[in-house]
Amino acid sequence: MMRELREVIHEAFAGHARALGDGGVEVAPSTALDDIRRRRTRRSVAAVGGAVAASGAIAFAAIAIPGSVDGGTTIAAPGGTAPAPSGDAPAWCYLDDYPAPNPDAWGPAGFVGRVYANYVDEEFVYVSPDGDVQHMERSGDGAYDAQGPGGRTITAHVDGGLTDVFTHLAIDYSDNGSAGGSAYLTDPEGPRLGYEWTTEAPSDAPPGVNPKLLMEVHTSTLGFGGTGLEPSVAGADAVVETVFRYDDGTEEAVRIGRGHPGASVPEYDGLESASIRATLPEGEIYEITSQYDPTQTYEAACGVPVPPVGDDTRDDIDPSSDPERDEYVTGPYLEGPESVTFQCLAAVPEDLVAEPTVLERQSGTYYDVEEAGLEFDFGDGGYILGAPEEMFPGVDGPGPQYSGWGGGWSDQTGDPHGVVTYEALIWVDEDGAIIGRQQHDADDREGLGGEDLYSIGGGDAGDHLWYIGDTSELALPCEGVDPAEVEKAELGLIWGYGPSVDDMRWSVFFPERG
Amino acid sequence: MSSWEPLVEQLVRERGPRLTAYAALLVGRDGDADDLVHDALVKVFSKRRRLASVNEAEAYVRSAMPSIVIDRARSAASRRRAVDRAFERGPVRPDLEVGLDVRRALRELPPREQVCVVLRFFDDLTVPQIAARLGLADGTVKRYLHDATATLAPLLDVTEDWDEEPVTADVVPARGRGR
Repeated sequence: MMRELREVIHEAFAGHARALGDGGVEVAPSTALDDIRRRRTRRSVAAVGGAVAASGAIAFAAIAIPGSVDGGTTIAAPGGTAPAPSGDAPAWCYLDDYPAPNPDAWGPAGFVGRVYANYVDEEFVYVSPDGDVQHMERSGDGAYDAQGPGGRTITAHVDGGLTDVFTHLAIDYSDNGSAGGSAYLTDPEGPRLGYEWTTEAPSDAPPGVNPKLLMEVHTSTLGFGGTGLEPSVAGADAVVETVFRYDDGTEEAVRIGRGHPGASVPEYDGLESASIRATLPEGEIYEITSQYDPTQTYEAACGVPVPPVGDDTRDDIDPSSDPERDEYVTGPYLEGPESVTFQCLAAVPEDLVAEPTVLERQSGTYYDVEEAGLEFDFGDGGYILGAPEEMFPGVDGPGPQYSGWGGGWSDQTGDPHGVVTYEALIWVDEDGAIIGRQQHDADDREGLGGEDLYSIGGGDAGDHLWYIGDTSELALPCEGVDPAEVEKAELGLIWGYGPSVDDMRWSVFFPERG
Repeated sequence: MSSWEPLVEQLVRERGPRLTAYAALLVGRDGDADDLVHDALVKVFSKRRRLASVNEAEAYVRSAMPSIVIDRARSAASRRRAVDRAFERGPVRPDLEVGLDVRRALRELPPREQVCVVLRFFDDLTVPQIAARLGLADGTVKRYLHDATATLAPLLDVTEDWDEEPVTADVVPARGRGR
């Protein structure tokens, strides 16, 4: 009688395992332990970036700026006090206090210059790719303009939500109108200049891959601003990765999720290059590579340090404080601006209970989540839940800097638009009252975070998606509530989106209701 | 020593042969199985997670392996990386004879079919569970399984027939996250 395949495989496994055991028990390979240590360290560093990412789902890293093409106090030491470059230094070293980024780092991104913006004193300085410096002039509509390469107009806007958060920005412009920058006063490395990088892109990009947009995702890896990965970059089904190669022959590939920028460099020692690689469903590969040479710094080429930044002549900014940013406050959920609508121990407004657009129940351990560039652990039961999200014109900054609030914005098409969002898990009792809310101090709690709850922004891409795994450790009982009651309570998700905190579309979803 | 290290040591000491044998079902050769166990250990323990017991750790490491295999097969580049790693490795462990005919037969299958066979006939997952795990359509998984059993039947002298529902319980243990 013929045997069954199941029986044969189990028998082969049992015999093989027994024979392997007879050969002696191994200790854990030291290479595995070393790899785990390194990745855990790297992950804790990456988590810092994740907090930034959460507040800007569309454009990123550092941040996207409402700026346009065609369409300080000075940030440097005042009074032209920068030391003189050496006699044989390249021309771009002679830039007074405004160092120019390395245009060779930008590859096909279409870099057309940088603006050093001082929103406090409304001083804007444009540095072209070849090092020309222009003090920008105020135009009739209140923006500041400069003439960029080919006669195109570089415009820096002075209004918008970002100016409430950042006072000084170094903004890099691409020729398609997108702009991204960093609050370099608070960056320990100062304005990112990228002279260590030289980027090359093959000219034969396959259909569906846009090298310019791909490079804009990659620039954040090089320390500049950048944009998040969208289907327009290489198609919705492409696997896009940042690839780091080291002089010992090893390489590390990090999948880039939808809405996320290229990965940060995990380790500079021995680094030879950082690439962004798109692998199409048919297996075709397109890769843009940035070679890394740690000796090719601005300082090495010019013979002087990067011009000092920061203004020590102003008396209305405490130099010991952080003038750049209102800190994101990780306070308890339901105690921020959302408390107007939702409070602990109050009933969920019945008219806000809605059905999600996507609801899938999942179980098991690992699932590939291609669009997020990760694998998700649903434990022994969880959900994929979706809900509408849309962008609104004129929104150019995140929501309130408080737990659960965030948003995304984009200016890639020259049409600034964005969304303010709020999301929080809740637990309700049989009467519909909120008796538990999402834990807000997850950072220090072992096991919380992306493995148990993951959120993917929708924005221009459509529905917002949540991957909800084992959420029991995420529950924080409301004051006076017995934790045992919360364990029995029903899980819900509050979701809000809109153009502003005062104009939100609120919904509450209960996945267990189907 | 970090809190996760004793569990890794215990896992390899007590369950190493089982993990390697499982990996060998997925990749065929014992040397490649060692690599797969290594990568799965790194994958599971690189994340902060609560693993309460060696049983749970074994289940997690095993469940990480199929997607690693699929990922490796996903692109030519990743295949090249696997080859590079093979060259970097020390002396490769020779294949043990026990069960080698089965592992050789499984190696005849394309990677996705091989993974589906292991998840169906060793882990006893249902077709929808396999489809969800691998991000495939149910019909695609059925086609893989039909094609795979047709290939394996003459090689191993087994029946091509198989049930869509599992015979035994799910081998992935309940969470038991140490609460």
